[in-house]
Amino acid sequence: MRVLIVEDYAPLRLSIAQGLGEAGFAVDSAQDGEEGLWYAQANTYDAIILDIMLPRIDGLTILRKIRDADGTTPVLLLTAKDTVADRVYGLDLGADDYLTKPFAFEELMARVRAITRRGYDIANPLIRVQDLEVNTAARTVRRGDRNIELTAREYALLEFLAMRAGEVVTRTDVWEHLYSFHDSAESNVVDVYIGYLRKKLEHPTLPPLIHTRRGQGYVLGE
Amino acid sequence: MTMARSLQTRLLCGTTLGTAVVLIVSGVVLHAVIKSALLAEFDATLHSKARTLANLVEQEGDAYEVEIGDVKLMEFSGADRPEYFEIRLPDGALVARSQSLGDRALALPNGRINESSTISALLPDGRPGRLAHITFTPRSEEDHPQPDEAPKLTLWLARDTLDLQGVLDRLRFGMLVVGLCALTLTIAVLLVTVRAGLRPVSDLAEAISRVDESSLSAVIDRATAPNELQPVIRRLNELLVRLADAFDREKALTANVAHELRTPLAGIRATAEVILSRERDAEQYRAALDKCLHICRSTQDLVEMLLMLARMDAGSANVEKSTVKLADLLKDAWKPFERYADDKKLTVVWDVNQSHLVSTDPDKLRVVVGNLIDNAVRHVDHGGRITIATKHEAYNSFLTITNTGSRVAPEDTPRVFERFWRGDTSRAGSGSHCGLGLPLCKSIVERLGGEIHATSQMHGAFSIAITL
Repeated sequence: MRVLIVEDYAPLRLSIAQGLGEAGFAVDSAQDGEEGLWYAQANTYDAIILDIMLPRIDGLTILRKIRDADGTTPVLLLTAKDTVADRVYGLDLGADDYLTKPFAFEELMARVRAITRRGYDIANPLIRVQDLEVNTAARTVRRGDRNIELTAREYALLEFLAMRAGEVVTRTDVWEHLYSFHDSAESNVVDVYIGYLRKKLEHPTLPPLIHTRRGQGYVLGE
Repeated sequence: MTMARSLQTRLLCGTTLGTAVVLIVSGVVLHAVIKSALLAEFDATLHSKARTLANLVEQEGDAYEVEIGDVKLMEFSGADRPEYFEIRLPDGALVARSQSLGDRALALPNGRINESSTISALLPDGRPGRLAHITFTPRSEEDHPQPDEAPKLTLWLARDTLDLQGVLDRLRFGMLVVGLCALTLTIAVLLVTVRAGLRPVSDLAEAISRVDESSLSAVIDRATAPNELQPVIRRLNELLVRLADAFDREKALTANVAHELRTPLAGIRATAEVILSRERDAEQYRAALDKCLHICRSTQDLVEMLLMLARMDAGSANVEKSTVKLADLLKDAWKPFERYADDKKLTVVWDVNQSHLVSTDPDKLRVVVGNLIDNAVRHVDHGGRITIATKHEAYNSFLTITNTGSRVAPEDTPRVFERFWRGDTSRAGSGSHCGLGLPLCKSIVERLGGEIHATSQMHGAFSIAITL
């Protein structure tokens, strides 16, 4: 899942980016409103964490511009303003959630996971595909009664496939949602990670889970 | 002591007391005038009667005859309230006295008394009365020529004043009744008028009592108020408007302060929580602690600035003036920034009089100069120029700190002294760079009795000038 952070206070921005990165998110960060708006318009994100008081362009203006352009990306407002009027105003402008500084990082993570799921029309954090179970809250994977250990990257790829289970996911989709703007990787990296996932998930006695659609991409499940 | 509290009671009591005093004084005066007029008339009657009586006395050789004995006037015989007379020789020997006296004598005053005057006296039977006297030479019979030196007789005539007292008593009673009625009527009329007259005041009080923190901007209507209250209401409305402004500024300031304190707190918390979320090597822990420490320091700066501003606002900061060499103070303030200046490849121009002394509070001026240099170094463009200049005239010293690469539009220049105003500059951190530096400088300079002005040209020179 790919997340954009727009926050002008460097210590906070860097910590959120680090925490989300370590949780398997691909993270882009912007330090002012202008940069933030550019990122939001140029890339596809699964969630945007947006500070309200920003230099150059304030957060609410960015939010309005995203929604005016029919952008549906879930947005979480992050701000030190805590009056009811501030919250209502932000939510009414089209924000999906609101968090007041200072906050518990756990809570921020949970809220980001929640609005990300909502972006894929999934309410249940436990995603089932055939006999595969992906727990997006605990970040664990089971197939049948077997626990499967995955690296952060592998998990992120599987979670993305699971959220779009039954749909064809192109390599570009994977690129756009699992890698940040500054990541550089070989073009076949997606195929390599699909190989790793297959090795850990598939079993000769069980039906295959990840199907390759030649010239299009991959599909998880039938 | 409600009297002191209520305007209505005070007005009522004052006016009632005044009216009562006027009524009593005029009553007393009127009583005295009437009494003296009645007495004068009474005395005149008494005198003329005495003269009539004196005419009745005849001298026959050495003997005197009072024809009155024959006349037997009612008032001198056994009437209810008899009158009395005595006629005496100059040596005091009795010539004649009225029948009514019998054996009793009139209580005559000692010493000489003016003939025309009449005195109050107690009659022999105990009634109060007046005593008049005339001295006369009695008529003589035609056949008895008057001796050359005929003795002069004195006639004393006394009459009770019971009628007069009765009239005066009735007069006093009448005046008392009229006075009390007038007083009651006055109080009643006053009650009504004072209450009606003071209604605008109580209306105003009610209007004021309705004003609270949330309705400060609601002005009090003065269309119906009387002229005397117009200036009060106008001033009150002006005060309310100023109060509302102050409250709004206070609210905005509090919100800004909350924001400025919450943001670094969020930074510390996020840093700590992320770093503690898994096992890490020592270097990462150290970096995180460093980061937290840095945030703490700048937050401390912020809190100290806020505190200093609050003290300036409250006027509780003492100014301790001494004489300092401005050039030394500037050089000391510059030292911590030398490294930044080198890093940014700045040209620093010093146009400072080396020997000039100023009388000021050096600690406070140091804060100002430190903030101004910090500001200049932070906002100057890479490879730009900072000019520090002083000038001295008769009574004033001027300090100007200018940096190139201004990003403040000329029309925004006055706003640099607004609290938490950051202009277009990116907020690189919180703490001392949160838009409080220049407002604090302004507060301090004004407290020191000086002035501070900013000028700016977009992408040109940004300059702060101080008069000390």
